[in-house]
Formats: sequence, C-alpha cells, structure tokens
Amino acid sequence: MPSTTLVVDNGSYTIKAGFTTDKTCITTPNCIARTRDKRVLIGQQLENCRDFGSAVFRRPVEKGYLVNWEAEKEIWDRTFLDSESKLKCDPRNTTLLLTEAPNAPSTLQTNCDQMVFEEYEFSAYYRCVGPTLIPWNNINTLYSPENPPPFSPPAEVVMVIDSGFSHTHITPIINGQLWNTAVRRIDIGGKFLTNYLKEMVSTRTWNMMEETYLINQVKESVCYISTNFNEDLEKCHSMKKSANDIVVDFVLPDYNSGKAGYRRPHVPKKHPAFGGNDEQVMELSDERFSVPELLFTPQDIGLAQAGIAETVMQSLEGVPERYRSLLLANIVVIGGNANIAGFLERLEMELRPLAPAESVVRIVKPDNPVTYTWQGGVALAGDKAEIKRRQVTRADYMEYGSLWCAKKMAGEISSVPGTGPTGAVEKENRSHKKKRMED
Amino acid sequence: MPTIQVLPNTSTSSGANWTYSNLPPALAHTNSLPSNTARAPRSKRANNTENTAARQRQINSRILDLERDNYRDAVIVVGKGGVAGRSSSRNKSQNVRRILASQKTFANHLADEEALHPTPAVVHRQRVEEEDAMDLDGDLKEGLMNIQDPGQPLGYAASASKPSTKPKRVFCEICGYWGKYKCQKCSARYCGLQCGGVHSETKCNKFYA
Ligand SMILES: [Zn+2]
Ligand SMILES: [Zn+2]
Repeated sequence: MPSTTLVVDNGSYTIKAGFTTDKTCITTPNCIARTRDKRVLIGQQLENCRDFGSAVFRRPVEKGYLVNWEAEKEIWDRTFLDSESKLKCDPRNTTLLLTEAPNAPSTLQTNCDQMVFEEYEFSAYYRCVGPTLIPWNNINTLYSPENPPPFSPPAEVVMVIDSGFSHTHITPIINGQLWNTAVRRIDIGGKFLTNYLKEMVSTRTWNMMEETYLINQVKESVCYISTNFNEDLEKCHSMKKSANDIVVDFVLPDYNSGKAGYRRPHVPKKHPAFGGNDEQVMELSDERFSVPELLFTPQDIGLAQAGIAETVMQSLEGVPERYRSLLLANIVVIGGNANIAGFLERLEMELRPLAPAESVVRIVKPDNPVTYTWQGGVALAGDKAEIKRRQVTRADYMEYGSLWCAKKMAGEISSVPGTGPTGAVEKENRSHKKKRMED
Repeated sequence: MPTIQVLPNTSTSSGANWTYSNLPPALAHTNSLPSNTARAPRSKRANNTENTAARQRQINSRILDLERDNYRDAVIVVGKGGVAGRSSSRNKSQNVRRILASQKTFANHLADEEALHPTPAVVHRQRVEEEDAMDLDGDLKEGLMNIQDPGQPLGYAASASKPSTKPKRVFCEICGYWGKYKCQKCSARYCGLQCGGVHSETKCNKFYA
C-alpha cells in the first residue's frame, strides 16, 4: 500500500508541493528560463540565479491550464524524481493529489491522467479543482483567530476568490462541492499586471520591455490597491512630488556588482541623499495603484469583463438564492494577488453596496494565500476514508481506463463498473437532499 | 516635454542592458495598422467607423500582448540532460510519446473542446433561473429539487465574467491622468494641451491624417 501522499498545487507561476507527512510546502517556479548568457534554468534552479536581465521564460501551464507536458516533465522530473530534490518520491508507492483550474478542457485532463499513470506510475491519484480544497482548511480560525468555534471539514459554504498569475476565479463551494454553474473567471492575473506595469514604465521612463522578472519584483514591492482612486490620481497629477506621499523610488539592481534592487522613499535627484552617478532609479507614482486597479476595473484597459466585486455578484446569480447571503458572509481570498496591499478593503468597499442590505459581507485572507490551497489538500488527504472514496488507483486505471477514472474523480460515479453503487456518493446525495429539506 | 520624464543617463558601467524610452515600444506597435485600408480618401462617417474598428483591433492586440510570457518570441529547447535517479531507457507508452510531442497551445485545445462539446452554458443558466423562480413561489417539490444541483462545468468561454455595468473611465494615453480630450484623427485620449502635443508629435496614427 502507498506509504506517502504528495499534494501538488500545480500553478502557472509556481508549484506548491509537499508530503502530507511533513506538512512543509515547497514552492518551485513552474518555469524554464534562459538567461542572457544562454544558461537554461529549470524549476528550482531559478531560485539560485541572481541575474534575470533580459531572461526569457517558458511556462508549461498556460492560462492556468497544464498545456505543455514536454516542459512540465522537465520540471516535474527534477522536482519529484531527482535524488537531490527535497520532494523526491517513489511514485509507485505514492498517492498524488493534484490541482487543476476550473473548466479545464477534457483533452488536457486526459493528458494529465495518462502522464500521471503511464509515465510517472503513481500508485493512486486524485485530480481536483484547486479552490475545492479550501473548505478543508479550518476557516473558522480566519474568522475568529482568538476563539475559533469548533470546525468539522469541509466548511459548509465558502466563496473562494482565487486571484493568481493567469486569471482570477470566483468559485462558490457548497457542502464541499464546486457549484459549477456559478464559477466565473476574470482574465486578469499577476502576469497581466506585471506586463501592464512594464508597458507603463516603458512608455514613460525606462524601456523595460525585456525585463519581466525585474518589473515583477517592482510590482510586488510598490503596488497597492487604492480605496480612493480618484483622489490618489489627482494627487499624482496635480501635486508637487515633494508633497505627494504616493511617489516612491525603486533603485534598480546592479547586475555587475550583484546588488539587488530595492524600494525606498522618494529622494529628489538633486538631494544630497541621492546616491550619485552609480544609482539608477525608477520613480513610481500613479503606476503604483493604476496597475492593480485592473483587478477591479478591467474595462480601464478595454477588456469587456467586470471586476472582482461585480463578478462575485454575477456568480451569485448562478447559485440558489438561499445560499447567496451565506456565500457573501464567507469569502476567502487566495492566490498571489491577495497579497497586494488594500485588496480586501477595496473588495469590501465595492461589494457592500452591491450586496443585499440585510446580507453580511465578510472577507478574509489566510496568512499565506499562495499555499492555502495546498494546505487544504493536506487536510483532505488526512481524511483517509474521504480521499480513498475520491481517488483512483493505478490498477483502476489499467482496468477501467482514463474516461472512467476522470468520471470517478469528478464524483460522477462511485463504484467499479458492473458492481452497482457502493453507496458512498448515493449516501452523500441523500444527506444533501435531507439538508435541503430542512432548509 | 516634462510629462515624459526621461532620467539622465549617468551610468557608464552598469551591466543592465535596458535603455531609455525614446520610442516607446508599448505604443509603437499599435501604429502598425494595415496602411492600404486607410490612405484612400473617405467620407467622414466611414472614417469614423473605421477608426472605431481600428481602435478595437488595437485594444485587442494590446490585451494579447499583455498576456505574453516574453516580449519577443523565444524558443527554449529542453529535454537534453536526464535526471539523476531516473532511468531514461524506459519504454514510453504511445500516449506518453504523443503527449510529450504535442506542441498544441491552449488556444488549440480550446478550439478542439468547443468543436467537441458546444457550450452547454445557456441550458444550465436557464435551469438555475427557473429553480429560483420556484423558490420564490414557495413551490418547491422534492421531484424538482434534484435539478437544483451544481451542474456540469460551464466550459472556458461561458464562465468568463460578463461586461461591467459601470461607466467606462478614460485615461490620458501619455501620462495616465483623466483622458478629457479625444484626438480627432485617431480617437486616442489625452489630458490637456501638453500631452495632446506629445501625442500628435510622436504617437498619433499618421494613417488617418
Ligand atoms: Zn496626460
Ligand atoms: Zn491621434
């Protein structure tokens, strides 16, 4: 029998992975890079590189979906099979719990299942939509960290907002199940924001079009989401720089001496504190909030989609009315963009007037919004009976094929062919029905 | 031109290879509209319609650019070295060989998917609406409750957020302030005289002049 379970949240920017036994999540860039001195860096190797000037990137996960296995295999092999890797495992004795983005094309799902069983030969496997793992976390500790009420997973109702590298998903999860008809996607994610900042800076001051890596750093260190956009914009365009507390400097890295870039308060060029001729400085003012503003107002750039708050309301139209208030009162924000300062405040500010007056709007963010999905996966895997009910084994795969396995993991069937229902899913349906009757 | 702030080039030995932005690359590419469609004289209305369509094409191509991983197309070849602890001589199944050789993009897969399963979204959305209507009527029967389930995935296209109902804001293309004025020639927005001047000198779509 498999002795270990490996939980892998396979994102487009990073892979969040770790064993359920040691409860440590290791983040690996899901990326292959080529530096300007023509070195090719794969996955974890990127972490040791100090000079990403003009580097180019290849990402196996495109728009959130695992598309290119040629590249993913390079990264997975080094991450999960290399004897030097902290995540090395023996797939034949390992259960794999793997995430995917909502609404994945079925051909990509099939490819994934075939690679997992035919190339890696994991002994058992459960593939699921990432945000469905969130309710397995004890979310009561987010709502009341001091004195959390008792919790038994999965949380009944959670509205997960997952704002990652490729896109932002609004995913209501009710009784542990993804409410498919209400899943909504906004095509703005961290990559789009970095590129937008890159374009803005390049039009105005420095040509940074080839410096994606650096601009991503700049974005992470200076950007914030404004709760008063008009006022902040006025400040940046009609006030003197000395009086405008929004302006900051980003001192550009010096790759020759290996000095990293950093943010500092704005120093005028003539000021004695300005670091002289060696210092190359990028000044940022309205770029700081105009860039992440796209999460809430994608139409600013001409994208015909609503921002996060409005899309939450669109999503609620897809769930039965009796769940809507519950969802509004149980919003959990995850993904890298959740770390942008001001995100929660802005969301609440916009959502409050859109929500019914009698509804409570409660929005929380875990300490680490990037690894919270992974953490939920560990919690689910800890429920041995539950994971066993959901997973497929390599033997199942060999015997019943990939279509059957995909259906089983999607919760559409619960038993092996020809033996009739085992009862697990049936029982669950009945208990849901009972719950509805009580509503 | 104080609105475009160009920092003085004082560095002589920096390893960085970025340059100053005298020809903004981000806007330069939007000028590359097909020239044959625009040079012939046209009526004002035709010109306007064309402007709008051209504008939309610019916006769409800009959005595509903002989704790119690299500014220029780059090919990174992989698969040369093996991984320690992994025997490379194993026979690969036919499926694995096919998947590893595939260079299909997400757009390719999406097109395949749409051809296979035309979007079922409309059906599901209707269903939920009907059920809600019943909820309101208090006419909820057990037989009908079965259809009040999470449904099947909507698919990529149908799950996209619908357009906002908020009024659209417009910004100056040069400096990012409110875009109070509209260029008569190319519909670009700018905030005032100064940025308007910069626009006509450096960025205005000359094809429509
Ligand atoms: Zn302006
Ligand atoms: Zn113009």
